[in-house]
Amino acid sequence: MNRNWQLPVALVSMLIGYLITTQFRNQLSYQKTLPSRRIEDLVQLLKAAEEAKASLEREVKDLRAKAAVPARDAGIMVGLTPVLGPGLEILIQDSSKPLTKGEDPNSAIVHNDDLLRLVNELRAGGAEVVSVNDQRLVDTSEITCAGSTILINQSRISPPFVIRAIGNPDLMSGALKLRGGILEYLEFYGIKVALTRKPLLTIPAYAGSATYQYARPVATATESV
Amino acid sequence: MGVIVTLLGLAIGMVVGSLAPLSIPQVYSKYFAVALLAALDTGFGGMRSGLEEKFGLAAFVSGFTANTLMAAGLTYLGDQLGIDLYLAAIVVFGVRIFENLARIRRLILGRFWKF
Repeated sequence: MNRNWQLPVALVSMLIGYLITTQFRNQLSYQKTLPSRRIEDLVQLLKAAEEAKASLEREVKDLRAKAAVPARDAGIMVGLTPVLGPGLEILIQDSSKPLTKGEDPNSAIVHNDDLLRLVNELRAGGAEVVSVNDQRLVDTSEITCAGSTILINQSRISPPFVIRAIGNPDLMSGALKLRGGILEYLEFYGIKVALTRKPLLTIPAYAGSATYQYARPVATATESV
Repeated sequence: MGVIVTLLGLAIGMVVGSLAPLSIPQVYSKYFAVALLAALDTGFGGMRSGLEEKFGLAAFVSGFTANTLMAAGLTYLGDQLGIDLYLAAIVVFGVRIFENLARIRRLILGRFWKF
C-alpha cells in the first residue's frame, strides 16, 4: 500500500488543528467580550470608527503642520528663539579726533540716543531681528543712559557697540545712508560707524525674564469691550 | 494507519495551538473561519485520495494553499462588494467535506466489510 500521502496530510492536519484551536479560542474571547450584539454589526462599527480615527489623525497632522509655522514665527517675535539670517553688522566707536578748544567732549562719545536712532532706522529699513552687543531687542527692551554706560534689557553695555540686524542688507544700509540721515549725523560728530554685510548672522535669544504684573490676556470677547 | 497518523497530527496541532495561541483581530475572524473551512476540506480530500491511492503531492499542496487563500480572498472581496460570498464558500466546502467524509468512511469500513 502506498503511504507517501501520510506525512503531508499529517502535516496539514497539524496546521488545521492549530487553526481550529486558534479559531476556537478567539471565538470564546469574542463571546466573552460581546455577549449580545452580532459580531458583524460590531465589525462594521469598528471599521467606521477606525476610518473616522484615521481621518481625524490626518486632520490633526495637517493642523499641526499649519500651526508649526505661526508658532515658529511667534518664537522669533517674542525673542525666545535664537535666529540666524543675512543682515548687517554695524560697529560704532567713539570719536578719536582730538577735541578742539571749546568743543563739548560729550559730542565725541556714542549716546543711547544714537543707538536708538540707528535701531529705529534699521527697523524702518525692514530689520526683522536686532541685537546690540548681543542683547536681543524685544518689545520691552529699553535703550537708556545710565551714568557713563548704556543700559539695554537692564544690562550695562559698553563701547565698542555692535548692532546686528537680520533683514535685507541693501534696504537697511539704504535706510541708514539716507542723505541727512543718521550716518551723516554721526559722521559729523566724528563717531566711527562701519557697516558690514553678513551673509549669515546669529542673534541670541532674549536672556531676560518676562514677568507681567499689570498686563494680562483678554479672556473673553466681552471683556475686550 | 494513515487515519491514525492524521489524527495524531491534528492532536499535535491542537496542543500547539492551545499552548501558543495566535490572536486574530475580530475584523479578520470571518476570513479566518472560511480559510479554516477550506483547509479542513483539503485535509479530508488529501486523506481520501491517499486512501484511494490517488494521492498527488503537488495537487494536495497547491490545493491547500490556493483554497485557503482564495476562500479568504473571495470572502473579503464579497464584503467589499456587499455580496455574502462566504456563503458560497461555506456551501461548497461544506458539501465537499461531507462527500469526502462519506468516501473515507466507505474506504475504511470497506476493509472490514463488503458494501
